[in-house]
Amino acid sequence: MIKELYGVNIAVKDLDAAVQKYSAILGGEPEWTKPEDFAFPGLRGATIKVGGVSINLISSDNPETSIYKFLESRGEGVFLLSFRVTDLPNDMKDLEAKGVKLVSPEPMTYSGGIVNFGHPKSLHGVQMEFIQPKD
Amino acid sequence: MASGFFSLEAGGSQTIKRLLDVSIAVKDLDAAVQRYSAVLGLEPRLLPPEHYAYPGLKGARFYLGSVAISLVASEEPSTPIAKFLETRGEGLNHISVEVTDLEQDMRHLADKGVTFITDGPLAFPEGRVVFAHPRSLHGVQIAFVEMTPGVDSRAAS
Repeated sequence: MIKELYGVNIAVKDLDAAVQKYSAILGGEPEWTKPEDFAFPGLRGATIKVGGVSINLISSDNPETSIYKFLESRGEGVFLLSFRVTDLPNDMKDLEAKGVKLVSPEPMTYSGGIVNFGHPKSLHGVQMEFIQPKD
Repeated sequence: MASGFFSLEAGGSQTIKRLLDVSIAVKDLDAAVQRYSAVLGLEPRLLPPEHYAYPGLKGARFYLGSVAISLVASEEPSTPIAKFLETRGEGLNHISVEVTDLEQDMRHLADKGVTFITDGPLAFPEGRVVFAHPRSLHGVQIAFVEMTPGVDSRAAS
C-alpha cells in the first residue's frame, strides 16, 4: 500500500541555477544525487528536504532520457511524484486492478530499492513513481 | 540560540516549515476522486468553493501522513485552473508550502528572485496564501501558505 509522499521531482534545464534558487528559497542544503541513485542512466540531480519530503531537481543532457523529452515538450516543471509503498510486487497488481497503467511489467532495481512508474494518462496527468526502499 | 533576523540576513533563512500539499488540476473531479481514492487507499474530504482563495473552484483532498494530495477542478472558464487545463491539460498545478510570517517571507522570497501573482496575501478558510509565478521557480507554481493556528484539519485527524 501507499505509505507516504516521498518526493516531488522537478525537471530543470539548468541544474546549478535551479539548485541555487531552490536552496535559497527552501532554506536547505542540497544533496547531490549520484548517477547510480537513478533508475535510469543519463540523469543528474540534487535533493533538498522540506520536512520529511524530498524536493528533487533533475536535469539531463541526454536526448534519450524521459527528463530531456519532458523538458523539450513541456519545459521545466514537476515531472513526477514519488510515493513509498510497502510491497511493490503486490502493490503493482493492486494498482493495475484500479486502472493504473505501469511503465514496466516488473519492478526496476536501483541503488535505493525497487521502483515502478505509473503512466500519467492513467493518473489524471500526473506521473507517479512507486518506490519500495531497501530495508 | 539567536534566531530570526540575523540568520535571515545571513541568507540561512529557514522560512519554509513543511510541504503542505500537492495540487492536481483535473477536468472530471468525480472520476479523479474515484481513481485517486482507489490508488491512495484513502477517503476524500470534499472541498467546496468557499474553501478556495479564488472563486469558481471545487476539489477534494486526501491526507497521506502530513502531506495532502489535492484535486482541483473548475467549471468556470475564467479561473486559473480552467486556463491551466485548457493549455496544459490535467496535471500537477502547484505545490503548497507552509511559512510562518507571510509578509516577511514574501520580502525575502522577492529578494531571492521569486515573483508573485498578487501583490499581497489572499485569505482562505485555513489561513492566508500567496502564489508565486512558475516562471520564477523553474516551472513550478508554489503557494506559500500561512496557516491560521488550530485550523489545520490534518493536525486534528
